[in-house]
Order: sequence, then structure tokens, then C-alpha cells
Amino acid sequence: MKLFIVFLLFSHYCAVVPVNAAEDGVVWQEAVQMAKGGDADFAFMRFRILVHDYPDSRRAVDARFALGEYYFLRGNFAMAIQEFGDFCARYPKREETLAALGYLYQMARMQGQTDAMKKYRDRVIASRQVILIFNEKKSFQFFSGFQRRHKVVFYIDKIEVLIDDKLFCEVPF
Amino acid sequence: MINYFARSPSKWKRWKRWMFIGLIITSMGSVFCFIIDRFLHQFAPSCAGPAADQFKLKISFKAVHYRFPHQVVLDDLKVVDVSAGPTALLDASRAVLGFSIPLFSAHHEIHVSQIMLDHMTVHLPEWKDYITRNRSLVSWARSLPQRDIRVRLANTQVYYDQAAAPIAFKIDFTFRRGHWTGHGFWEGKGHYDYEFAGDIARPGWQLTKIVVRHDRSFLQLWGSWQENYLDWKGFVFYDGPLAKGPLYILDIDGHLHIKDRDIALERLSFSVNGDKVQATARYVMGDPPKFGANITYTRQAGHVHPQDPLKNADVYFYGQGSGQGALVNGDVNFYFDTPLERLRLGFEGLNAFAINNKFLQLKVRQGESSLWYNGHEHKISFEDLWAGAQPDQDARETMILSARLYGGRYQGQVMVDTGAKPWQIKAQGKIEEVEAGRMNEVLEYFTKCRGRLSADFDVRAPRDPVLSGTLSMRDGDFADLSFLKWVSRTFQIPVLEHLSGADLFCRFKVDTQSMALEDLRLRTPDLDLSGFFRVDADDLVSSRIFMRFSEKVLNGSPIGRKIIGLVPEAWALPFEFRLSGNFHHMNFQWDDSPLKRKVRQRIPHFIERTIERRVEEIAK
Repeated sequence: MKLFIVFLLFSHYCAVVPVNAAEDGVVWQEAVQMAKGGDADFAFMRFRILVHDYPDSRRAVDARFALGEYYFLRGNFAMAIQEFGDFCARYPKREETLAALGYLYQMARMQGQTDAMKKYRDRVIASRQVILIFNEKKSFQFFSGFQRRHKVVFYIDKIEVLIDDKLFCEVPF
Repeated sequence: MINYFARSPSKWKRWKRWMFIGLIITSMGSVFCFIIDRFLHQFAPSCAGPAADQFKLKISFKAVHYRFPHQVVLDDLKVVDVSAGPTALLDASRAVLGFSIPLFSAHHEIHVSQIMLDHMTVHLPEWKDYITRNRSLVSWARSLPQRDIRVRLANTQVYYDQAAAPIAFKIDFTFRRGHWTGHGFWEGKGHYDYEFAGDIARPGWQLTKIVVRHDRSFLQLWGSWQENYLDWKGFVFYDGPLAKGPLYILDIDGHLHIKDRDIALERLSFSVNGDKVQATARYVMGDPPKFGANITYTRQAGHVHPQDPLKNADVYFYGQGSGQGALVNGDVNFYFDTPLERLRLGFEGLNAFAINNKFLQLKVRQGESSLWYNGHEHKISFEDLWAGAQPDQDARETMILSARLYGGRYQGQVMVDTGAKPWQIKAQGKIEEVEAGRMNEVLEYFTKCRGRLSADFDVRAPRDPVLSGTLSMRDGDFADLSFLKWVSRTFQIPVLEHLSGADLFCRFKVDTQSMALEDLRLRTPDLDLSGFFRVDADDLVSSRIFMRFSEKVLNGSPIGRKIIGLVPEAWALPFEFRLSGNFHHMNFQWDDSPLKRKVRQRIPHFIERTIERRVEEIAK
């Protein structure tokens, strides 16, 4: 009897977990498809669902970044700053955080906020110690929720953020 | 001609009688005056004699006259200190002494109720010497009964210094029924009118007012003296050459306690154009005399701005007389609303005295000077400081300095522009053979080195502050330098963790924006390092370093041996490094160079990547 109960619980667990995991994946896929199809607003709604309904999902990290990216692309800098600021605070160790800081730095630069530029520059510097022996630079890249290829390149005295191989911002130090 | 008398014989008789009486009185008066005049002429010198002997004074005059009814006139009066030289303490072309007729009539007392001196000359230095030797005169003057008197000095010349031009002086002083008033002027470099008034209010007195006027400047004080306590209040308006604009010194409030030989300024406060000044002080007469004071200066927030960033200042000192000067301990602080937040000078055994009243000499047994810059304290401690200064007429004061400093010596000069606001300081100097390790209180970087340091430097502060110069060190030890530590771990050269017997030279410059070491050269038998290192106000580093290792050092390192295996002449080629990022978290790069290119040509890419990964692991 006991073994039967344990079996039932185990089978229920196996049934539930993949369903949840699949759900967030489905939402993510829908959001990505909408983004690719040019429905940025609907994609944004899906990313919001991911963030609110599946906050612990691994896709929630990418979705949060995508929320900031959406606001930036729509020119709503106030909300973009809030979303990217929240992203940096939640995931200080993730490499995407450098791209988020790049966005924040760029918005401060576009708004002529030198103090804010300095603040984000210092966070960029503090985020990573760069040691270059043979190479002149190091980089990493990822695709955002809106399917734009983000590339962060470290040099000894600056970082560059490229989006789809175009220079988006440069943070010198 | 009409004869009026003929027509009125009775009136004519009355006139004759009165004329006769008048003639008799006039004759008697003349005879009386003549007798008094002759009497005075004969006996006046001997009248002054006893008093003059008692106070060692010689009083002489050319002639004496009696002026009806109560005045005596002395011509060419001279008062000479018999125990000193022939210079008169006082001389006057005419002195008029008036006597009180009511007192003489009622009590047969001869009391001087009027003193008028004309064309008088007074020599203050001689008076000072005389009073020092004859204090009994002061006691005698104090013991005199407080009777009504009027003193008038006209056309008076006061010599306060033998070499200086005299001051013209005039006073008209009246003391009557416990109330005293006075007015007059003095004229030296300018013309000053003054007046004062007060009352005797036993056991002290009340000063109703003392007023001094000069051009567009004005001073008024009032107060009281009661049972050893002197209180005064007042205000000053000054608009003259010593200030850049009108100066309002308001709300003066002072309270002084004098008891025996102890003078205590228990309270003094006033405002200067709205900025508050408060002071307390004490002076104890004795052998030696002792003194102390505490002064604070607090500026209104609205007066502090980038061109004039001084916020507060305070001065505290105490000491005692010593020989010709004084021995003082104290502490001086200036607070600024700039990255340079505070300047402090603490000293013990400060001895200041003037040579020939011109050359000011200053010695400090021990002291320390601190400055707080961007929240960091930098301190310099010194011993046996000697400073000499010659006060100048213009607003630039120059002081020559020397001191013992961390086992070495300091010599230099400081120029203070007192015309600037706040005072602008420029200093030049050199330090020799100073123990670098002990200078960690100046800059924390010195904690990482040992050795004898010499330097030349120029300083400018507090406006646009900058410190620049050259620095050299011989036989120095360097440990825990982050760059050398990184090179040591990356290339496995442990000898770099602690460098010994190093000779260092560099030019340095520190200002509000950056700190820079240029032309940096560091040499040991195993290492030849050169380059520059700059840190800006945000702690961001910009640096390039060139390093050449001896063959012995490279062969002692596993990676060095591999590099020599790949590039045999590696010991002759410099490693070039670039440093960047935050000072406490620097980024390093082996910069493109002939040596790096030769190494890269001889190793496969996957080895490069392996090495990169390993170095990153080390860094973590």
C-alpha cells in the first residue's frame, strides 16, 4: 500500500513538473515568434506573463531583459531604466547584466546625464576584472527576447556593446 | 561841546566816587597780583621740589605768572626723568593751572581744577621706561581724591617711536560730579576724531559711549566696569584700504574678568559681515607670563562659494613667555567646501620672536599638518621646524622653512598671498633621505615600500590645489604592489612579490583631477621597469609599464624558461603592459610588443587559450 502511495505521488510529480516547464517554454516560444513576426507589443505581453507567472523559470531572466529592451525600443526611457535597473539588481553576476548596463549608460548619455553615466561606467568597471595575455579583447554574445544578437566586447580600457554587429554603445574608462 | 556832567552835578559826584573805588580796587588787585606773581616766581620751583624728588622727576619752567583770579601760567614747562637721559618726558610751551576758588574759600584747600597744556610734546617710550621704574607714581595718581577737573591738551605731539613721526593729539576732558566726558582727535597716518562719556558708578564705572570716527569708518563701544568685571558691547563700520569692501563688525559682546594678575576674556563674540567670531582667552601675569586662547570663525552658508570656499576656522593655543618671545602649543583648523575638506596644523613648543622688530623667527619642537582630501586624511609629522619670515608691505609673505621629517630633512619656502581670499599658499621645498615607510600617513601607497626617499616639490593650495615634483629612492623595498603581484603570478616570477635593493625615480603630480607618476624608473639587479601611472579623481587608472627581466630571473621561472625556449633573446626584450580600470580592481594586458609577437608566432592558438583560461583562474 505504502509503495502504491509513493508511486502515485511520484507519477503525479513527474506529470506536473514537465507540464509547468513546458508551459513557460511555450509562452517563450510564442513571444519569440511574435517578436520575429513584428508583433512587438504582443511579444511584450508574453514576456510579462513569463516574468509574473513563471518568475523562477530560466526564461524569466531573458524575459526581464526583453521588457527593458521593449521599452527602450519604444523610446520609453523611464520604464526602460526601471526594468534594466531591476535586471542589474537581480542578476549582478550574469553576463547579460553588462549589456543591461550598456543600455543604461547609453540612455544616460542620450539624456545628457553625466553623473548617471559615471555611475553606470563605474558599475561596468567593477563588474569584471579584465586580464588579457594574448588577445586584445574578450567577448560574449546572446540573443535577446526580440531576437537581436547582443555582443559585449571587453577591451583593456573600454567595453563595447554591439547589437546585430552594429556598435550600440561604448563605455570607455 | 556839551558837558553832560555840568548839567548833572549829583551824577558826576557818584561817578567820581565809583571811579575812586575802582582805582583803589585796581591798585590793590595789581599789587596783589604783583605780590602773588613775585611769590610764585620765587617759590614755585621749590613747591614742585618734594613731589619731583619723590618720583625722580625734574620739573622746570622758564617763567611763571599769576592770572587773576585763579590761574597760574608756566612758560616752557619741562618734565625730565632724572635717572634717565636728558630727553624730556614731557614739555609744553605753556601750561595753565587753574585752582578751585570754592574749595579754597570753603576749606582753604588748593585744588587744581583746570590743566591746560599748549604745544606739548610727549615721548611715550621714555614714559614707558619711567613708569616701569616708578610704579609708585601710578599708586599716587590712584590715591588722588576724585574732584572735578578739566584737562585740555592742544597742539600736542606724541612720539610713540623714536624713529617714527609724531602723532598730533588733542583732548578736552571734563570730570564733574561723577560724570566724565571728553572729545578730541589724533592725527598720524589719518585723522581720527573721538569722544567718550561715562559715569562713576561705585564700585565701578559706566562707559556710556566711546566713539571713534575716521573718514567713512566708525566705531562705537559702551560698557561697564564692576568689581573686576569689564563688560562691553558695540559695533564697527569700516570702509577703508585694509578691507576689500565695507566691513560691518556688529553685535560685539565682551566680558573680561581681571583679578590680581589673572586676566580672563570669558566671552567675546561679534559678527563680521554676518560671519560669527567667538573667542575666549586668558593671560596670567607672572614670571613667565602664561596665556591661552580659543577662537572660532563660522561663516554663513550663503558666503561660501567656489571662489571663496572657506567654511569655518578655529584656533586653539596656550603657552608661556620665554625670553624675548613665547613658547606655544596649539591647533589650527580650516574647513573648506571643496574636495580639500580640511587643513589642520598642530604644534608643540612653538617659539616665535622678532629680530629687530622686522625678521620674524619661529621654531616648533614638534608638529603635524593634516589635510583631508576626498574623505582621506593625509598627514605630515615633523620635528624641530625652523621658520623665518620678513613681513612685507605688499600682500605676499614669504617664509623660509626647515625641519626634521621622518628621519630625514625638509627645506623649503612658503609664500602666502594674504591679498587673496582665502589666503593662497605656494610652497617649494625638498626632502632628503626620508624613511619612506613612515610616510604612509602622508599617502597610503607608502605602506608598501621601505627605503630612503628624496624629493623636490611645489605645492599650491587651497585654490586650484596641486602638488608636483620629482621623487627618488635608493635601496628601496617594495612589497604587495598589485601590478607586480599580478606579473609575478601570471609569469610565475616570485621574486617580483617583494623587490629589494631597488632604485626608484619618477616625476609626480597630484591635483584635484588626477595623480600621476611620469618617467617612472625602477631598477634592481633583476628588473628594469619604466613607464607611467596615472589615477584620476574617480580612481580610474591609465598606465603603461615596460619591464625587462634578467636572464637569471627568467630562467628561475617555469614560464620564463618556456619563453626563453621560444625566444632565446627574451631577457633583452621588454615586456610591455597596459593597466586600466579601477585602481583597486585593475585590468591588465600584455600589450602588443616584439616579444609578444615572437612568442605568439611560436605557440599554437589552443595553448594561448589554455594560458588565458589559467590566468583568469589565478585572477579569481
